[in-house]
Amino acid sequence: MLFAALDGLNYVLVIALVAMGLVVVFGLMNVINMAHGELFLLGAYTLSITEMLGGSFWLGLILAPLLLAVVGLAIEELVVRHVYHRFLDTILATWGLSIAIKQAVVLAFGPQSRTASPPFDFAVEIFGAPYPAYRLFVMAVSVAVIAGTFLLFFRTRFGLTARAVIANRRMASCLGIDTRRLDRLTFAFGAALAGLAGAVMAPLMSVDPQMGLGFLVPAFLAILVGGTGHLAGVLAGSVLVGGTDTVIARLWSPVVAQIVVFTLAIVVIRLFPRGVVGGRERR
Amino acid sequence: MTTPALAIDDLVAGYGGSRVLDGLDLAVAAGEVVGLMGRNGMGKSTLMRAVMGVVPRTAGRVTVAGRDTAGLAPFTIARLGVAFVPQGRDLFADFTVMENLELGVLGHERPRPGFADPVLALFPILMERLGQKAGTFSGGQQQQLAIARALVSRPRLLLLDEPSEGIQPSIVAEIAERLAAHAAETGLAILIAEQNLDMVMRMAGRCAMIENGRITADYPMAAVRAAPDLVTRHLAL
Repeated sequence: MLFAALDGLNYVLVIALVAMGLVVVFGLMNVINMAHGELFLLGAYTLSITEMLGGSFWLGLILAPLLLAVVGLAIEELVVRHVYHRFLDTILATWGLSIAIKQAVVLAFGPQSRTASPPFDFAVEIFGAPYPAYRLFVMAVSVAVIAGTFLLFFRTRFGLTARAVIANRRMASCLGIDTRRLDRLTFAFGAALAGLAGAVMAPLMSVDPQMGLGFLVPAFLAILVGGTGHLAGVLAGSVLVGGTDTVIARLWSPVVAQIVVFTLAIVVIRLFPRGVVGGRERR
Repeated sequence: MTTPALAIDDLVAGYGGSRVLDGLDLAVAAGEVVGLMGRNGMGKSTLMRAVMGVVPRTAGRVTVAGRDTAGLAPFTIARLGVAFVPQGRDLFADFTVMENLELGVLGHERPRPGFADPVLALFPILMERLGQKAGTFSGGQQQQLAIARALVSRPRLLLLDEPSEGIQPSIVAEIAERLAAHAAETGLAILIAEQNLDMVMRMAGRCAMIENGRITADYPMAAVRAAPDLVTRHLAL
């Protein structure tokens, strides 16, 4: 039972990590990035390929977010920038991009699944039973990155300007705040978060061209349930979605868990249209 | 002749191809306060927004201290030294007074310690409430904060859109006098769109009348003081 809780927490934290990247981009730019799952995928491939080429896990873990930040910058500049003002088109454009990235990965590396090795595979004893140390490491990384994101947005001047742009983009621009630069940085930051999540999760799952979807859907649900008004909503939503999924999957089956999670999401969205943390009405 | 802080030549601008501003000319010199008066819908707010680059311009020229601002984003125009206090103020309501003030300067430079002291001296009411959220303020306090936020970047031109709206007259008078003194002292140019003649008379040296997107008259304030009717008949329906 304790391990179920730890696995659940692991899942919750990774969903939160993925959802965090989505929500900063959505909050700042009003863009729903359907390609976010493929950025996760690219992060995992970066790690797997770095290891294949003889690089260490640690090198891959550092390379993944850096590379994905660059990919994010390119996507922002080449695609997203041109469709900002057309909300639906951003969904279509990024969805198209997700298909393109997935196919490009298939072309470059084949459809088969790859592996990535964790840097250590010993187990630690928790209350007398062995638990994989790497899973604890994943949790630690997630907690650190989530905490770092909160600090960045609520304790720094970059965060203050970003939140000002979220609250009132036009007024922020009239005050001299370079909203273009913030858009670029935010998109790159969101992509880097996805890349890091993918890299850190790669040793725990099958690294294949479909792996992005498995985290994108729960991350979206977490955001819908938690609300986009506040970063804390992402955490609440992740706990609700990830926690329910793990517990029910353990008690019954993953299929029942999916049904329950979706039903729960619908009920919560019906009762709290602005999410359980429900940010106040903003302009 | 020195370069004016703001020069507008034959400006045409509006929303979705309409001509809210229809060949408007206006200049504001450094240190000068100009009142822009006219009835609702004549283009006062549109002029402010067009200068700021928020409303698209279709023809004409707007220069700030001699620099053409055609095609520039609002933040670039702001960095040329234009500060804007929009109608309704658009404060960041969930942010504290200090955070609002920091946001006024962050787009220009890294805030130095004490960067807000000069504007806080101008509006001492803000000094005691630096940690309070802007949304909890009364209308008059919010207006003072919005003006302070505009001034912390030490602009050369301040655009004020209906600052007296919803504020009690004694506060309006106080704000007007402080701003006029500040402009005279620092060389700040102010363009103030108003329907409140009292505020304009307290501050401005000139009063430009806007009608159907053009400046139809431009009176020295002495003439307006002698015959307020000059202005009021433009404002009457």
